[in-house]
Amino acid sequence: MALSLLAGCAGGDDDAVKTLTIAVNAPFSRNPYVGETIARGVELGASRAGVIDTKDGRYRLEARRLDNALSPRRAVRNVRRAVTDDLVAIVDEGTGVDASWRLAEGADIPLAVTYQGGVGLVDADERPNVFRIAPNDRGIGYRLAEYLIPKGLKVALLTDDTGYGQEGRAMLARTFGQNPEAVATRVRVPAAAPDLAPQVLKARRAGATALLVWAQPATIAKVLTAARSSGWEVPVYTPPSGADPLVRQQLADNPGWVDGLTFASGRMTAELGPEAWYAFQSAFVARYGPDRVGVRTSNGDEVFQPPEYAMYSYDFVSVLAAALKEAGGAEDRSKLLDALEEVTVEGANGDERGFTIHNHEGVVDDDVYFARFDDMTFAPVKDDALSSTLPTISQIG
Amino acid sequence: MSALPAFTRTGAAVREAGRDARLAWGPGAWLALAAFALAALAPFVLPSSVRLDGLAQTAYLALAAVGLGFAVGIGGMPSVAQGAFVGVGAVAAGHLIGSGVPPLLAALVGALTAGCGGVLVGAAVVRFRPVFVVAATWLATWLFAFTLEALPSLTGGARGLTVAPGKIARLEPTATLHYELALGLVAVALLAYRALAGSSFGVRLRAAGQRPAAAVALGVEAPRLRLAAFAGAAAVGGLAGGLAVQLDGVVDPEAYDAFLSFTLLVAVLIGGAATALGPVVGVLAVAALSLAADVLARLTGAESARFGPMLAALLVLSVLATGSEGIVPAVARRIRRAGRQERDHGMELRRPDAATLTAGGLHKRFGELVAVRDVALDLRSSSVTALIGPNGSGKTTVLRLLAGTLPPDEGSVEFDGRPLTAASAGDRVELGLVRTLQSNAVFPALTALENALVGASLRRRYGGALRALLATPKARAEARETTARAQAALAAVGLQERADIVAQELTGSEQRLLMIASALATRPRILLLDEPSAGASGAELQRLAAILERLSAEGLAVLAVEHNLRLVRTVADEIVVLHAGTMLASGTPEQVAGDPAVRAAYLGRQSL
Amino acid sequence: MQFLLQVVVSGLAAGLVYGLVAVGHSLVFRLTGTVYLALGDVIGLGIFTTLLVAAGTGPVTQTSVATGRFLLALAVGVLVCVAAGAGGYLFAVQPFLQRGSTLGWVGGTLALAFAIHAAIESFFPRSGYVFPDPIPFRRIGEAGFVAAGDASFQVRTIYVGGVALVLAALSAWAINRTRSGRGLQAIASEREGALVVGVPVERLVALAFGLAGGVGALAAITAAPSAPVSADTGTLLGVKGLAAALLVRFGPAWLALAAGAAYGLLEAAIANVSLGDLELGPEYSAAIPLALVLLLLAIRPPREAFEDLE
Repeated sequence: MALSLLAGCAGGDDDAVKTLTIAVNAPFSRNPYVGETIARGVELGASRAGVIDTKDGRYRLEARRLDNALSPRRAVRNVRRAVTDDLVAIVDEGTGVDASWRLAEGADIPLAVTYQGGVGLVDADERPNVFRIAPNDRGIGYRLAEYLIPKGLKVALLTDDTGYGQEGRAMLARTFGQNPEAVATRVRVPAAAPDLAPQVLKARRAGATALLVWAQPATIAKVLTAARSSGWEVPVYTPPSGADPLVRQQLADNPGWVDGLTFASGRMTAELGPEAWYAFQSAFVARYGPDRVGVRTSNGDEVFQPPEYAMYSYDFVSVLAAALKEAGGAEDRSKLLDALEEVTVEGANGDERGFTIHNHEGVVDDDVYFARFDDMTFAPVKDDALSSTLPTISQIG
Repeated sequence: MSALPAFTRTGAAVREAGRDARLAWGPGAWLALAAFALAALAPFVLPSSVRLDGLAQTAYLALAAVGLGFAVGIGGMPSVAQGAFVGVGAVAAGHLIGSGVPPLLAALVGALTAGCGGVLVGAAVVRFRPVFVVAATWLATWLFAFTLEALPSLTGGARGLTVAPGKIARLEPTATLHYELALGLVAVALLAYRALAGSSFGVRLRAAGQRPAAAVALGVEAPRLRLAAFAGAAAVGGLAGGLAVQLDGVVDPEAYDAFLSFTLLVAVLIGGAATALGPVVGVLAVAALSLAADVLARLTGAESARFGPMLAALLVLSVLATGSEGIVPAVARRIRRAGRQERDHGMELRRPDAATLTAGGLHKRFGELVAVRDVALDLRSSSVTALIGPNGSGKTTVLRLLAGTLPPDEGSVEFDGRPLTAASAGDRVELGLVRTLQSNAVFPALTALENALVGASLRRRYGGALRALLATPKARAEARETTARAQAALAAVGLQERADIVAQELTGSEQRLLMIASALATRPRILLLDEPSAGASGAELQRLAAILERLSAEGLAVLAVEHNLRLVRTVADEIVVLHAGTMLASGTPEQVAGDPAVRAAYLGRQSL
Repeated sequence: MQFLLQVVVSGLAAGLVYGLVAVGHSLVFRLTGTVYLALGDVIGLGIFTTLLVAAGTGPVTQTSVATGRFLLALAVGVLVCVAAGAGGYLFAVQPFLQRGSTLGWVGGTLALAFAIHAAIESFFPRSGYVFPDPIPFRRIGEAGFVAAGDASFQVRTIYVGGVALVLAALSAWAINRTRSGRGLQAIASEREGALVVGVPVERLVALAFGLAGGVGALAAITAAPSAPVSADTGTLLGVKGLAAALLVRFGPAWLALAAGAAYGLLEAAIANVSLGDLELGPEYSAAIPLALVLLLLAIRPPREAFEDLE
């Protein structure tokens, strides 16, 4: 017995666990909600992955926060730092990827975008080290067109002058381009203006029967305010930014104005059922506490925000862990990069996540559903094929 | 065949330049060379954990700061727009590189574009008082930021315009290369700064910044000089921006905001505005602050992006509150040597040509008050005329009318038979009509020699900034001659021993003599002096009298507004008495002394 | 027509706030010959101190703050603002004025501005915060909006305009009728003389600096609930107010107010109005008015701007 113990001790020295660091390049200072969500997803994923046994040794993953303050320059600097410090991967909010990806590619470091949906960011052929697990603008844009055009509405496309709005304007031009009769007018809206009544009035005068507002949450709130306050009960549709808590916070005094707001977003629950998602949500809430929106329902219940974007960064860490196993370790980075295109894992919500050599989008383009606000919480709509199959995720209590 | 003389001339010029350079080389130069070598070797000896791209960015910042330092310290324009010019260079270079232009050329074009922007903004602000320069450049910086927001095509929108790194002079654009390039440019900029600051271009600029009125009185065309300085600073900023953006890899609109302008100005302030090294030291101090802020942020767990500005701003506040004028001057004062160099007193001031100034029927009203009524004067070469009268009798107004700075309501002033009305101050000084001011209007921060140089530089033909920079043979020869003339002017008033003393450290009457010396250095034909004897004691008065007599003997026409009757009696060939704006009497001292009206109105207890 | 009404109402509301800031800038200039580059951020400090005391840094809605607490918060905010304004003069301007150092007060006020900005951002880093509205405007009309034909505008914009005008009138009264105000006028016209006569120059000027910030903050806080505020809100107010003040050569209060109003109207017009095909669009609403002011400054500079050449 003593001999076997000794043998065990001798073997133990070879099993030291190496720590691999994942950089989280996100706007922690400027948009802490987004930054924290992404980082927490990475941390949760790292702790779930635990110790990864591979051929080259045993690894543990950890997250390191690098603030990009929504500045492309800072984002590039962070990536440079990640390269110098030999980090294993970069989970990125998306700012500055156009400039920073090459630096990461030079060191064979994968860069995963888990928030921004701009289509130019990801290109499996040109940018072999850039991946995305998040709904992209093309998917959202096409689904919005697909959903709205058959309703026979005349949609006014309102976009603001932020980067997000500008990208949206370009995408909507494409997706609604084939159906000009569905577009009442296109209006550009100043994000900094206190009052958007003139722009909304312009849309109304153009005969719009629906508003599609692709803009930052603050702008969406202002549009709703302008429309509803003048008594115009026009339906309003938005991309995922409509789900941002700020919209509801701004309109907390008039919860009735939020009713009917419909947004497009990536599907949170799996087609198989919501159990896996609920498990993920519980784990997240257990570790970090619930994310208060700051408003209450008409019953007085506090409203919480589901950790949607945390799921995407969490899933990337799962893919990375699987790729580590497949590549046999982190010694050969190019092998690790290739392995990312070969593995498939079960995502947080039960869906399969994986990349191929030609497709670096982890979320299928049209895996987008629509949800409608009612009494400060949202639920999937019933008049869309995909959405009608999805359950309502609880946002209170 | 004909090329041979040109060849030998060039060879002689080069040898002469080499001799000058060897003479100028001293311990300071060795120190500078050592520091430069140390800095250049830094990337190869520092541990790899040091971020080289951060060092390179700091070096580019230093380059922009040196440019700003020149405009602020020498040009006297507190510009808060340098960050915008850096941005102009960055945006221009970014776009050009995107279109395939080689990186170095793109940066140069960026510098040129920024320089044009500097001309545009500068054209408006060069005539302004410093406070309005600040206000205008502050608004210009914000306008640049708003314009970038309004035209996302310029900056690639919020994504930023990607700048693909290209080979610089066939070398891979690594952080090390950028660092060495930036370091080299900073060295060149420092040398240029020193060369320009000491040249007549720089001296005139500094004079205009310290006492604008006096400088104009000596014929300095401040706006044009300032425009050159401002545009030059903008171009240097643009160069720094055009190169730094290649290191960044992306044109980020937020990087060129008001905070960058503030950082650059703060660097210049902390390091010391009117010195070449000051901006560099300031940038290093700011970089050290950012590092400290980073460390603090990591220790307390706060977001580093927020801590930096707050820390920097707070520390600047404390630096300013302690009232230091900057690190470099404070250090320099500790180790200042009273270096007196050998001066060549050989040159004498040339005899001025004959000139006449005739004024007739001068009337001037200020609102209700009639300051000058029907005054006539006749100034001739080799004579001293004294203009006396009680306070408020209009003497200074008459002087201003004669000098041409104030247009008369009626009457005319003619110089050598030609009316003076349309001439600007600079033109008049060039014609040979110079006036000194009533208050102590020497340039306080310049040495006595530099004060005289301001006037002497008036007649330079090869005195421009570019020639000073390149130190062409003609420029150097002319500089020697101008310096000699300035020394002779100092000698003419007896200040040759005090040539290297800073003007504010001279005594009051020495400063007045210095004012006369500056005026003499412009080679005037007619000299208008405003109360040259104010505050002078017995011995000083004798000295002044001797100077005035000698000047008049050498052919100058002098008009002195004076209170001191004893001096007037000793020196004046003709006296004009003013009372309540009208001429009470004029003539020789004896004639005026005997005039009963003069006695009654003015003399009282004093007697001529 | 209703469109025009809309532009006028919203433009005036914003413009009168700019005007009050311009009055502050004018006052400071005429008293000290300096430009108070930190005025905007001092106002921002007032806004966010009020927000902090009223609601903390967490999510807030327009109705979630009781009136009593809001009034306390308002008092604290204005007090902090006045203190910061006066302190700014005493530490960042006055020492350098004494020394005659232009660079000194430029650096000082800029440093103060950025320090305040950074401090605000560290507590309130997001790009927009909801500001509580203590006055139940939402009970008027349709949730606070009044319709005029097709157009509608917030009732509170009229309220903001009214408050701004009242504040301006109060300031004018204070300057013309109170002893301190007359002291200030004396200082503006002849500083040395005022000292001789026994006017407590330093104290009054510090007070003026403080009030410039306080009045501006009051106006800005009144306007704040109309839209999300961020750390940049104050800074931009300072810049636009300075532009308006420069436009009228740091002239008398009513002129500065009018200039601010004109600036706001121009902004609103550029953002909204389209004449046929020509549509400038909202992106230019910040840049164009500023460019025009600078152009005017270049083409027709005020006499005060020139160097004293005599």
